[in-house]
Amino acid sequence: MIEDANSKGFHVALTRLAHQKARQLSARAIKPNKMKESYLNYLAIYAVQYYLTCLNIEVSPGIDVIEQVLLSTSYLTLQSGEKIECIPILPDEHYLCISLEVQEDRIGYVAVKLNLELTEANILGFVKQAKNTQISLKQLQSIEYLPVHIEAVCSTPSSINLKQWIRGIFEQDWQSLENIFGQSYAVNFRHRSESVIERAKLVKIQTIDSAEHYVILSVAVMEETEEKLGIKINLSAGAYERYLPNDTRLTLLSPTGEKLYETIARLTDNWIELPYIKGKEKEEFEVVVALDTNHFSEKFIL
Amino acid sequence: MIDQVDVSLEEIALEAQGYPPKSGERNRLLTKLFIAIQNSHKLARCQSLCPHQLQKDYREIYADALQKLFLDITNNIDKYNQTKGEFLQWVNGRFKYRFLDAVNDWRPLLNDGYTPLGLEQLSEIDMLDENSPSLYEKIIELIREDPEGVFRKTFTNHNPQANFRYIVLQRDQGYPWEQISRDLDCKVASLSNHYRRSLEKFAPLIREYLQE
Repeated sequence: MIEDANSKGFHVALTRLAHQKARQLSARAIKPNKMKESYLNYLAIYAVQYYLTCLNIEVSPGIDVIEQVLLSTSYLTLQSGEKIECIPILPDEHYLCISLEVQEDRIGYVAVKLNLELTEANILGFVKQAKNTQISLKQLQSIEYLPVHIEAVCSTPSSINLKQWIRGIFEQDWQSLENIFGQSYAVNFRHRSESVIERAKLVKIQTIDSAEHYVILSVAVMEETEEKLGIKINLSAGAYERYLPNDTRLTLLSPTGEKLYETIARLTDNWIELPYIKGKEKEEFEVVVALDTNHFSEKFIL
Repeated sequence: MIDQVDVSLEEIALEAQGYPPKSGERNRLLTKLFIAIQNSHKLARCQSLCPHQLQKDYREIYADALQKLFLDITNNIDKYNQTKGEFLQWVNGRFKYRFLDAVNDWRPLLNDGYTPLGLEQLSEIDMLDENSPSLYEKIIELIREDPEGVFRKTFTNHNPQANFRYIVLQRDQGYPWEQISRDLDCKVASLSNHYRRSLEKFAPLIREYLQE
């Protein structure tokens, strides 16, 4: 079977409706040569939205007029907030041109080929990152992988993976102690040994009187043997607070929700901690930080 | 008559059923399915199902029906039972109903006197109303005047000239990023990031000014 280049993409008919919307949006703004850009951008957005709707993936066009005027961009926003750039490609173009203004803020760039009459759009494929402003169409990844990429980018890990910490791979909110504690780091933690991997996360909890408190949950991991990890969990007052809020509870739960250990902060505690625990790879546990009726929990896997 | 294309459609459909709904893998296979269905040219034309008075809108209705069909497949592919027939037959059966749904849902477009533009026409056309300044010009004017100095206040790279207002005015003049970067001795990436973040920050303010 002869493969036609056109047969690789997902086709979308650019109907009168698509054109009507493109006209409305592009007429709002602009200088003549920007109007054409805006019109074509909207047709590209329309096509990608049509496709994602077929998969039940909800997206909304980024059509803020101020953005449209001051930035060269056309994007769709996913429900989770990430943005996908939709770029029109003219019939004789062989490159995907990415405007410098949006290089850092998109999870992907989709190439939408338009025909001369602007009656058909062909979603050719996409790239995940744009290190250059010009990307050859031959470097595009097939559009069928876009939903796979969206899933990977938008799903949050359900458990914090401590085994990966040993390998230096950390989840986004878990930062080094220097970052979180700032100046007080040097004072409080200089005794930490090299073989201990420790990270911390800033947690906000609210008391009944609506006061907001910041506390720092830190987890230290060390490799006891090849299969066993040792873990120490500590809760400290936030950088600008001297003590932990009175009655703050730090609890260790089993995967089934059973309370294994609990410790409670008293009036002048600046930190509290759970006893040293050991576990084998694949074992899971949950840590809960609670105050009044508010609580924050995080699941971990070894 | 079953041919190669039908067989592979069947295979993709069955493979898709093996993954959880909404999963990336299933969506990938559904995408392959949609493309294969489009390329097969074996989808019913349904022209006879289109009422006489709506024949002029057939293309619009068909596009809507196709999207409804693909969405239907996404939501109901698990209902396809291989033992009861070929996949393409199942698809066409459902498509006829989706086409009728599209006919029912059809509402004439408001202000439909407008003819869609082709690339050449788009390049020639000038849709601006010469009398009132365009929104673009209003925004540029606002930023140029900068009554409260806000657009000049924050800057990047310790260079007070590398502020939002300056960048907007340079861009308005048509200077490319590389040039502005050279003039300010500031990397393009820092400039464009600063520009984009400033824009996000100032957008509500600009909107407010414009509404007055």
